[in-house]
Amino acid sequence: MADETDREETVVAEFHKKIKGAFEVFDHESNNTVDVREIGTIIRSLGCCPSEGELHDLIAEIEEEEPTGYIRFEKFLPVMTEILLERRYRPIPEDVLLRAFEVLDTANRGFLTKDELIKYMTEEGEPFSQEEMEEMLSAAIDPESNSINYKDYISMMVIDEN
Amino acid sequence: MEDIYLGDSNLFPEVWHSEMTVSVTGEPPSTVEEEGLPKETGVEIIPEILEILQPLSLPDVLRVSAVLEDAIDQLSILKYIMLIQYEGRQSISMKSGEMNLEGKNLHKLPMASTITKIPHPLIPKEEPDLPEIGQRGQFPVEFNKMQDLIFKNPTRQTIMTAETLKKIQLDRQFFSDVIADTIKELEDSGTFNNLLQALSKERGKKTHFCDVIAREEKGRKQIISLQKQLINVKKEQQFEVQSQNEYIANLKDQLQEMKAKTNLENRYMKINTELQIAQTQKKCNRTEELLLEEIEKLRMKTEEETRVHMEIEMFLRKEQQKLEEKLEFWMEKYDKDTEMKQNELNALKVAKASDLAHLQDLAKTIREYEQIITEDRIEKEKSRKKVEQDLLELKSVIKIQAWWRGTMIRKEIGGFRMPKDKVDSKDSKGKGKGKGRKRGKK
Repeated sequence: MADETDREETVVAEFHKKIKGAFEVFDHESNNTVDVREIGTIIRSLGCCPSEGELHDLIAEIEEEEPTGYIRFEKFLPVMTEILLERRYRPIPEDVLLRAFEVLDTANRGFLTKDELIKYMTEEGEPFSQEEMEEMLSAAIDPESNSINYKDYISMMVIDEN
Repeated sequence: MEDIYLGDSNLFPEVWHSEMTVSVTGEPPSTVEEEGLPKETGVEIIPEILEILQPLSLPDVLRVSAVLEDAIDQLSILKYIMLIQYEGRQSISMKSGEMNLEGKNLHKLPMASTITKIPHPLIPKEEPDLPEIGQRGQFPVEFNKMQDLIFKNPTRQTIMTAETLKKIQLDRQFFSDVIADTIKELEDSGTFNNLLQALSKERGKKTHFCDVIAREEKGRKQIISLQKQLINVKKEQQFEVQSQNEYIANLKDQLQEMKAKTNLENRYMKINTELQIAQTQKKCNRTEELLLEEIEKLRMKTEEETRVHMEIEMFLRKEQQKLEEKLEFWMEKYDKDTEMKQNELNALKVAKASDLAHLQDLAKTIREYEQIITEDRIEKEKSRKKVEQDLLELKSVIKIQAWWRGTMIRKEIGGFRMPKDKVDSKDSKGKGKGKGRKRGKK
């Protein structure tokens, strides 16, 4: 028990350190506050993959009662520590991603055309910005067939991650 | 005489045989007597004849012929004598003279026999009665017997002589002829072959005669045996007849019994039949009475039946009338009802047809509605699926988008760079990017 608590404590300390590091990157005025808009980036940089909706809920939780447009580190730290301890918003695993692509590939052809991908990514759900879309296309599209073989693409990206 | 006759008649069957012998034997004495003379002369000649059949010398011829002639003479004399003797016997039963003659005759016989006896060894072949010679031993006895017979039975002798004399005459004739021929021959050729021939012929005749006698004797014996056999057969026949008679008697008895039985049976049958007839008649009478009673009963019944029948018929007629009326009524009613029902039926048919049409319409509508419902359901299902799909797609898209945003930041794709790498570019890039994204999102 003592060892576990010790380890937990060390893990928490490590998380605190990580979080502080990531937070300080965006604390431009060094007053332990960051812009609300940077929170998503901070969380994502800490290895989480929340959706925009989840992110919005999270911000609503840690924001001040009177929105000031800034998030204080004191408020952010415990919430983020809890998230990391609970391992919430873990990156989506390969098989789940594959299934998601298969759902979009209604004809089960094993690939999606560029137009289909653009349509799904920019018109449905939480649409990509132009920049994000371009980045994705540049990484995924096979220039010869002008389509995306999502299986290969996922495996490639997941390997990269590991 | 009478006694003798009687004796003769008594003796007859037995003597018959001996008489025959007498008749046969009676002859030789005469012949012997007649021949006696020539034989006396021929005693010396015979050897010559036997030895050489040559013609005799003239003196011999003369001598012989003389003897022979003498013999012929004597024979002719004898012929006449015998004729007289015969006639004499015929006329008178017995003459003493004749008796004497006969006695003479007979007296000669011993002499002749003595004569013949003497030359016996020399004569045999010359003698015509040779077989007699064999009997010569018996001869005297027989002769004596004959003599006795002659004396005892003179009548018989006379009867016999009629035939005997005839024969003697014939013999004598024959002998005289032979002698005549011999004389002639002697005169002609000096031989006596003729005589020898006659001799042999006579001998042959004699043997033949003996054979006949023997055969006769045999026949006699045979007759006796056959008679015996006949007697036996007769006896057997008699015995058989007796047995047959017995059998017949037996059969007759049986027949009698059978007749008696048949009579009894007949009587019994008659009585029985009569009784049966009587019984049957009684039965018939009884049955008749019964039947008559029955007939009466049946008549009564018939009458009753007729009455009942009439009544029933009346009743039934009435009933029929009633029923006819009813039938009419019912027919009418039936017609009416039928018409009514037909109408009803027609109405119902029409109603049914309209109902059927209605039903068909309704069915059609139902089918339409069902189709609509199913279509609707399919559509709903489709839309539900679509929604699900959309939701799933949305989730998927969000997931991919979230993943991609995270990945972009972590891999520093795009404009964002981790702050640790470049502290100096923090402000400009980090903020710019973050703000841009935020704006895009909101």
